[in-house]
Amino acid sequence: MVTDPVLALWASLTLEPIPWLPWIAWLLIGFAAAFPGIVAYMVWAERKIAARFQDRIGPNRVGPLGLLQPIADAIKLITKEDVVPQAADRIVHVLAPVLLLISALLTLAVIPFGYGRLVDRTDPATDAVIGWLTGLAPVELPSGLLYLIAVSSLASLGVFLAGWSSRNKYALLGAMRSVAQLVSYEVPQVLSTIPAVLFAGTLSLVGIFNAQDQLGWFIASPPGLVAFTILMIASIAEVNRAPFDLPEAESEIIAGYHTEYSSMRFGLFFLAEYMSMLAVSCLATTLYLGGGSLPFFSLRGLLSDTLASQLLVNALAVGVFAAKVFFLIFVMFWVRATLPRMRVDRLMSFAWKFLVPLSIVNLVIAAVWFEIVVRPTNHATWGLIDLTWWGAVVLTGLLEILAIWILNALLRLDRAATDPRLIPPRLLVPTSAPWAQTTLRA
Amino acid sequence: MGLGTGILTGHLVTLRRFLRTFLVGQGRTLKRRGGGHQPLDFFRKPAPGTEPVIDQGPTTEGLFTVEYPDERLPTRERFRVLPVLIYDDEDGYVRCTSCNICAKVCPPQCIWMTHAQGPDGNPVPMPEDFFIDMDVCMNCGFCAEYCPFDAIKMDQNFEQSNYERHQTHIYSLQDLLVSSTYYAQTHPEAWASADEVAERNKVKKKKDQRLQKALAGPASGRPAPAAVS
Ligand code: SF4
Ligand code: SF4
Repeated sequence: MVTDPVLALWASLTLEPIPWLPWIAWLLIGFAAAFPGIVAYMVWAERKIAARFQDRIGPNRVGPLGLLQPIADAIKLITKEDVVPQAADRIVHVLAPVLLLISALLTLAVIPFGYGRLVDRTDPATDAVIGWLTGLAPVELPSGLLYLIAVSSLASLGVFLAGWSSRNKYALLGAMRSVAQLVSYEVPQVLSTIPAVLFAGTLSLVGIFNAQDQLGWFIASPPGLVAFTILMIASIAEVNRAPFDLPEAESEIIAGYHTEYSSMRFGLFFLAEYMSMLAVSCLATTLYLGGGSLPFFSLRGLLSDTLASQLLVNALAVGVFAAKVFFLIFVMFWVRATLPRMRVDRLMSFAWKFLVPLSIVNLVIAAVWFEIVVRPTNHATWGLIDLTWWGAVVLTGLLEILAIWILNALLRLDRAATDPRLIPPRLLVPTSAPWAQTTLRA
Repeated sequence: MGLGTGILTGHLVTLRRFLRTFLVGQGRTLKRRGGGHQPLDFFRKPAPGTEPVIDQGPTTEGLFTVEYPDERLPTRERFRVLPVLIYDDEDGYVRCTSCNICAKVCPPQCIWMTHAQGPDGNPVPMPEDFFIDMDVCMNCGFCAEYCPFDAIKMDQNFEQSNYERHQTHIYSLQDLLVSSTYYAQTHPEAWASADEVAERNKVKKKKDQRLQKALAGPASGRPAPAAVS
């Protein structure tokens, strides 16, 4: 009944028998076919959804509902002339978009997309044998989150190389803005992943998924909610999307760092942008929305050794995961359709004076939550709805509100002190100066 | 405190617009507003000439896009594109008397014509041929304003593109002629207006007299109608 190739493929996708086979399978199926396809249709979805937000229809000429539009666009991009400016640094110019794309793809390599298989594993802390879900992750790294943060920082290198090698002032300006922004928002992004690490007690994304499958979604706690929100805001900034799209502000610096790119090389930037959107949505889903798990109910019990149960559970889990990711992506489209671009000083002060302190304070509050709820009861969220849980919600919730309120008040005070519009105009030349008097008299 | 409430309100406003494109308009949920073909009806398109006309007012909500080849905006009576010459349906005569006024008044000078001649070589009040260079015409409508015989009128057909522009864009008499019925259809208000009715009667009388006078040479009798397309 069970055909060997199917089983082998399945086994390979779930990281079991042959070490190099899963990589090949993931490379061929995921990274060469599925993810670019998803990204192409994300572009289509964005055009359709943004159109609806503006009372339009969106692309509908190529194929029914415009469904063939991404393919037409790809053909157009590929057949266009690829121009590398004469003054550009050729190798770096060619390398930069590839680097960006690689960064986005590498980020996806550690995400657990489904449930995988249930295997026995020895818990390093207690030496007890526990059930462990392999999570259907392409690669399972014990320090997956660290790796993920490292490869996602490659993006700012790619962006800067693109801007630098183009020998174009707009490209360089865009790249400089971009690096400033990416480096700034990386701090709150990383800080806001730490509560998940704290609750799960592991840096492995598969471990975090396992913990959420057992303990409940991490978002369902005040510090988790705040961390998730910070993570989403910082992620939107990390992928250069509105309202944080200063690096490519058309009205000021043409297209920013990819001004000098044409043809499919521009297409790669485009692909990379959407790919990293996908990646950060997957990351947020994995860290706080429980990956492919359903709320209040673990699919773990349905997993057995039979192929059918594994396929079924994983199909369901991947579907749930995709739904969550799509929701987050929709939120990004929605934010883009709503908010205008931020001013650059506001952008920076928002990151450094609001998000970073808030995520540090949130870390402390997360520790409080950990001590009150997670450690004693071994439930992060809805596994245990009792007085302790409610008390902890009220306590940490109040702490969060207080922290946000204080930080906001401080930010406003600071704005009032530095806003050029609020500073009374001063004469550049004090008229009391003796030389000014003579000039005025003359 | 107002912490981010403005941002949240803004998001709700845009979300409302997003949802309204699916829910309101003349068509509900999945039906296209204006009754065009349905979004789930992927491959059928209205046959040429049967496209629904979509009239949007200040109260229109939901989707605003008019999918042009498959849906159209209405053309209003005063909408004008290029001039046409009118012949009367009753007798088949071209109204134009070849008086050359339109050619003189035309700002870019894109009208020219030749006068028809009677059997005796005397000029007859009708054009032998009549040309308008459509690439030069700037759609000002002066020709139609100044024509004393209501012979030249502005048409509403705006779909004029073609692949050849050296010969086909110089319209001759044959290309320009349309019947008075057609004009009455496209410009019902103007056609029924007291002005035009009076003008029609007057012109008919005058033209008849002049024609008779011109033809009352050695050979009597009416010439064949100039052009009936
Ligand atoms: S169209 Fe009117 S103005 Fe022009 S030549 Fe004919 S009668 Fe005269
Ligand atoms: S519409 Fe204006 S430009 Fe065109 S033929 Fe008439 S007078 Fe000339």
